[in-house]
Amino acid sequence: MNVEDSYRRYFPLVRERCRRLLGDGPTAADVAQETFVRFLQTRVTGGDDGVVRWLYRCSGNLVIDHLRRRRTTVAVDDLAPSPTSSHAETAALVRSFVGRLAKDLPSEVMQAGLLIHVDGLTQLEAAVVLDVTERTVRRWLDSFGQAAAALDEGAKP
Amino acid sequence: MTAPHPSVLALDLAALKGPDATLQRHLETCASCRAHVTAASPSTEPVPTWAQTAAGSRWRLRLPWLSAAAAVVASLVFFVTLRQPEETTRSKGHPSFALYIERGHKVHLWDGRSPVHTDDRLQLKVAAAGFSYLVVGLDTPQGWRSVYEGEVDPNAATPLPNSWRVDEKDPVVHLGFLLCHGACKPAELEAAAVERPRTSQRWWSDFSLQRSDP
Ligand SMILES: [Zn+2]
Repeated sequence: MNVEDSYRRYFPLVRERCRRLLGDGPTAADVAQETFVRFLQTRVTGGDDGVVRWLYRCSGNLVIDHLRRRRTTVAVDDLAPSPTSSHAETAALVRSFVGRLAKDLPSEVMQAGLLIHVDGLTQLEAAVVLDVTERTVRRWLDSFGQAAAALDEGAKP
Repeated sequence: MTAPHPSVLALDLAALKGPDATLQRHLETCASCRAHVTAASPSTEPVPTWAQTAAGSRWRLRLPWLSAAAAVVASLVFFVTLRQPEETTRSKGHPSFALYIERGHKVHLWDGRSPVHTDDRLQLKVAAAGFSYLVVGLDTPQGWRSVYEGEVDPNAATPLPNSWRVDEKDPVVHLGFLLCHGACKPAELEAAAVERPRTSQRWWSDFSLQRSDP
C-alpha cells in the first residue's frame, strides 16, 4: 500500500484516538502525526486488524510519554472517554489523575487503563491489542484501579 | 433500551472493513457510534507533506540532545529487578536491569520512582539472561537516540562502562534497553520502543525518570 492509500485509510482513526486521549488540541495532532510517521517507517503485518492493534499500542505509548513529560500532573478536561466506556467512576478518576498515573505506573499498566477506561475496550480486546493474556490485563487493571483510588483518597481534604 | 455500544476498537474495524449485521443494526439506531465510524472511516483528504516526507526516509536524522558524558561510576553494591510485568516473570531467567544513581560521593540503587537531580550520574547494570548484545537508547524530542551499544555477558550481571549525567534541560530522562543476540542496530530502537518485544530474540525494557531539583 502506498503512502497515500495508507494515510487515507488509517490516519483518520489515529487522529480520533489521539483526540479521545488528549482532547482536541495541538498535542493530540502532534501525537497522531508522530504515531503515523512511525507507522510509515515500520513494517506492520496482519492486515487491518494487525495495523489497528499496532496503531493503538503506538499511539498509547506516545500519549503516555507525553503525559510523563508534561510539567503539570493533573489534566482534568483533556480526556474525552468514549461513550462506550462502561467504567464511569474509574474513568472520572482517570480524567482527574491521568498525568500522575502516567508518571507513577509502568507503561503497560497505563496502556491497559487507557484502553479499558478511556477507549472502553473489553478486557479480551485489550488483551489482543497488548498481546498478553486476559489474566495479565486484569492484573494490570487492578494496579491501575488501586493507583487511581489512592490518588483520589490522597486528594480528599 | 438500546443495545450496549460496541467498543471503539470494533467501530474502528467496522470503519475499515464494514460492519457485520449486528453492528449495522446498532449503527442504524445509535447516532454516537455512527458518528465515530464516520470520523474513523477512510478519507479522501490530500496527504500532507510530513507524511510524504516520512515515507521517503525510513529513519529520521537523530540530533544530539542530552549531554551524555562518559564516566565510570563508583562501586555498585545492590542489584534488583525493577518493574517486570507478570508475562515476563513467569519463567525464571528473564533479563533484568538495575539503575544506580551517583549523587555527590554516594551511589544508591534507584527505587523506581524517586526523581533524579541535575548532575546526578546514572549507571546501569544488566543481567542479560542469555542475550549477548545491548543497545541503550535515550528518548529525545527527535526520536530514540542510541547512547550505548556493545556486547554484554550473557551469564553474569554486567555494569556498563558509561554513565549519563542528568542535564538541567531534561524534565524527564527516558532510557530504553534493547537486548538481542549478535549485533542489533540502534535503528531498531524506534520500533522496539513501540512494539516492546519480549521474546527469545529481542527483549525491551525502559525506565522513565523525572528530574526534580531540591
Ligand atoms: Zn452506540
